[in-house]
Amino acid sequence: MTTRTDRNRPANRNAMPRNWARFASILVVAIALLNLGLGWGAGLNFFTRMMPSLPAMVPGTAVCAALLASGQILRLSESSLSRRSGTALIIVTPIFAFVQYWFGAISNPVSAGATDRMSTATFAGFLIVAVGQCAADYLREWGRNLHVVLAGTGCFLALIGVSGYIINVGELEQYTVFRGLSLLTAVVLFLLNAVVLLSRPEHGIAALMMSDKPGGEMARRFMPAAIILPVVLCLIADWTTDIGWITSNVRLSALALVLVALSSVFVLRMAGALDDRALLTDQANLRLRDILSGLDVAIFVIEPDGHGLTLNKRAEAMIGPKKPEHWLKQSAFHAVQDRRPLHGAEHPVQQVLDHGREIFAGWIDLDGAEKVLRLAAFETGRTGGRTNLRVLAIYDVTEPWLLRENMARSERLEAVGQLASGVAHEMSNIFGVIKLSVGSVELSDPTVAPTQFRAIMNACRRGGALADRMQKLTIEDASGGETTEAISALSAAIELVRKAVPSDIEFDVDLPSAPLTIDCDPIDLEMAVVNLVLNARNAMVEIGKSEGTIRLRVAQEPEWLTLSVSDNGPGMDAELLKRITEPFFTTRRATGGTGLGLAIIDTFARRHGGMFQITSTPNIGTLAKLRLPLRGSSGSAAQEDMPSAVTLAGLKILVVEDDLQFKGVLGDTLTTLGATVDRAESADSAMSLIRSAGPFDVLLTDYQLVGPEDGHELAKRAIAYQPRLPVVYLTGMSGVQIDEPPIPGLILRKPVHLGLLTHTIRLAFDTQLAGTRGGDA
Amino acid sequence: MAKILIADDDRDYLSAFCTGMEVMGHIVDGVRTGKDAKVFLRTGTYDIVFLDVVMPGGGAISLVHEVASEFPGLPIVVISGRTELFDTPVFREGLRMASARLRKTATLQQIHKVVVSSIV
Repeated sequence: MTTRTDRNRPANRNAMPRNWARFASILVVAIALLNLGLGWGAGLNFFTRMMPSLPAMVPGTAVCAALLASGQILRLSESSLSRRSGTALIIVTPIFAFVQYWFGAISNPVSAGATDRMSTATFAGFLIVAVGQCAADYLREWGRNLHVVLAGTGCFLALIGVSGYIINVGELEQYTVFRGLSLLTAVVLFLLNAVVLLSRPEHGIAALMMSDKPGGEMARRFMPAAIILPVVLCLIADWTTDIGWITSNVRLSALALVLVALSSVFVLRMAGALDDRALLTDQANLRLRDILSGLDVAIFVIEPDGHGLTLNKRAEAMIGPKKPEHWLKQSAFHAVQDRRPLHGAEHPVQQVLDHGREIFAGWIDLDGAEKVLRLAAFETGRTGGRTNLRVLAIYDVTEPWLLRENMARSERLEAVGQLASGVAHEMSNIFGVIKLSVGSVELSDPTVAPTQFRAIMNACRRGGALADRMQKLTIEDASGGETTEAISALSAAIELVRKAVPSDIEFDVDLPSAPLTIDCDPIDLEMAVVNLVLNARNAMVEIGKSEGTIRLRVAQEPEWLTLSVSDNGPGMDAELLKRITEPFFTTRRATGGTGLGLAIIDTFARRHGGMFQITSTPNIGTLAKLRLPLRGSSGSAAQEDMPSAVTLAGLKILVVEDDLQFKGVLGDTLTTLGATVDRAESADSAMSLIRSAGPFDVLLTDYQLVGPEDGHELAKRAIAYQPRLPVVYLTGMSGVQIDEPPIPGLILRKPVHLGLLTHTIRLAFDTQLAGTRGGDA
Repeated sequence: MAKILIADDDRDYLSAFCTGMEVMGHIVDGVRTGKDAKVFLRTGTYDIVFLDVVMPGGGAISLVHEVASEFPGLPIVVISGRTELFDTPVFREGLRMASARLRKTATLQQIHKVVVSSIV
């Protein structure tokens, strides 16, 4: 968009002066034709001499003017042939004019007093126009302003003629050069010279007059007044002396005074306009600085000489008390990877300014913290006569940088986790084999080494539990698999924690006798109780309260288990209460508190569809309440979170995955939901399926495929074969960074919930049907 | 006493399972692929079938569904060494047809209990 307007602008700017030039030339031709036809042909005096007593525009002059104007019109045309013939006309005309002039001078000598012949001024005027036009057209380097000088002189001579007629014809006739110059000729000469000026509008007077800048505006506003007012003033002066209002002596001084007043007004108004303009510029600069200060980037604007510097607020904060020039040259930067100092030719500021490259560098800020900075520089474009400014932008990229490092680390951890998962699977199998074999032997002959077999079984149990735990590490959500009998788990935990409560604090426990089953890991439940009781104990021990009571109640509501732990300790105010379940918030950092206890209970409760709540009154005590849904109840929020799966009936899906963890489970599930599924384990086998069994409705592919080709490369090939095939990408758990896949598609992170999976597939398919998928041009 | 079919690709586990179940007094057939399992199910009558859900070539979940629809009423027990998979949503949804799930680290007694409770 921008480039287009930029390219168009010079053309537009030249179009207007050209149109004006064409108009003036046509006007000249028209005057000449009227002079020849109606004047000399039909004998209408008005078209030859305007008024009976004035000199006439002779036919020779009219022909010359028409020739020159035609030449000028041809010069303005696009075709080079027309332009060349225009030049020829312009060169020939003065020769013709000279013949006319010479002939007229001989037949009607000046001394004879006759006026109907080409005047010297007319011939000189034509010569000036012809030379001026040629100079405008052909002189580029040397004497490129010659046409301005010539045309200016021509205009001046023509105006002398015009003004002579307006003020006093008799006086004009006194000068031989102007004798016989008709009013029409003077006007025509003025127009021809104006065309010369307009034919090179990018230079000189025309450029200024036509400019869309404030200067041009001002010139256009004042020029007519500057021309007309003095003339009018002179006419008035002349007229007032004629009728005897003022004497000729007074006339001169009055004229001088009025002219002085007039020119002073012009000068002052121009100065005022300039000041206004400067004020606007200053305001614009100030606003720009304000805008720059709002940016989160440190900006240094460097003047071309390298000295003047403008900083935004961020940059000022960055350099502190140092001088910006010194800071840029001397501030200590280091390499991000190895903290090697960067100075001399390696100094990042120098490198960025000299080579325009983008550079990352480490830097210690004023508080001593290490920052990772991204330095970039660019030059502003040339505007008017001003040379380029250089802008150095320094971004603080510490956070994204750390995030990226952490990302890499979590990717490695994920790989380790997957490995662990695979190992754990094998271990499960192995322990299973041992257990079953030992069990068989035990059963078939119970007398064989019973102690040893029990030891083997115990070892297997431990190993199996270990394998389970290892596998759990690899998935995010472990809820749902396990059930716990809450009462016995709580009893065990209470016995454990009772030992930690000092004897002077009463520990009152109320448990229902009937067993209650809840869906959670018993360890989590035990940890929650221990944590809550210890918190209550700590609160009371800290204030040295001797007669405290901790009350633990477990109650069964229709679908919930409610566990409450209350104390009559110091309590908390509302402010503290609000933050108490935030991770890492603790009031006991000094005594080893991690600030995670309550946060973990909170997460645990919510993950299992329950809730955790603390209420407290200062000096009265604190009540912590944990609610968990009983097994089989419908109160589980975890289930509400999951959208139900939609049917995929009728969809033909190509599943490409080589993930060991799922091994075909994905495809199976899609089949059970009604989809027709074809499977492939590599890009190549997927492609041959697309060729032989296609077209497919959706391509569901792992983003990371084992083998030379990634999921997105497969997508590229698949799209080339079957355009508009919707693609859904699957990625690993922590979400390996995907830099905008070249073939757009929806992205799913494992482990994927069935509802999300089916909705995603449907969305991909439906969007493709609607024909609005991005990437299709 | 029950007639049991087990499909598992792990040869060692398969043989240990068969031996154990026989010791427990059951009659057991062991196969190593889902395809064989279907063939055996069609030719013989079984009280209960154990299927390993993670077998090469996949197909375990669809096998569960096929068996469930072809032999309605036949108890299906899903066994796996990948216990964490039991907890993934895809699995939970996909294995609704199974009457029980069992870890591979289960003891003979636990398996026996499942068999007894399933066929009663």
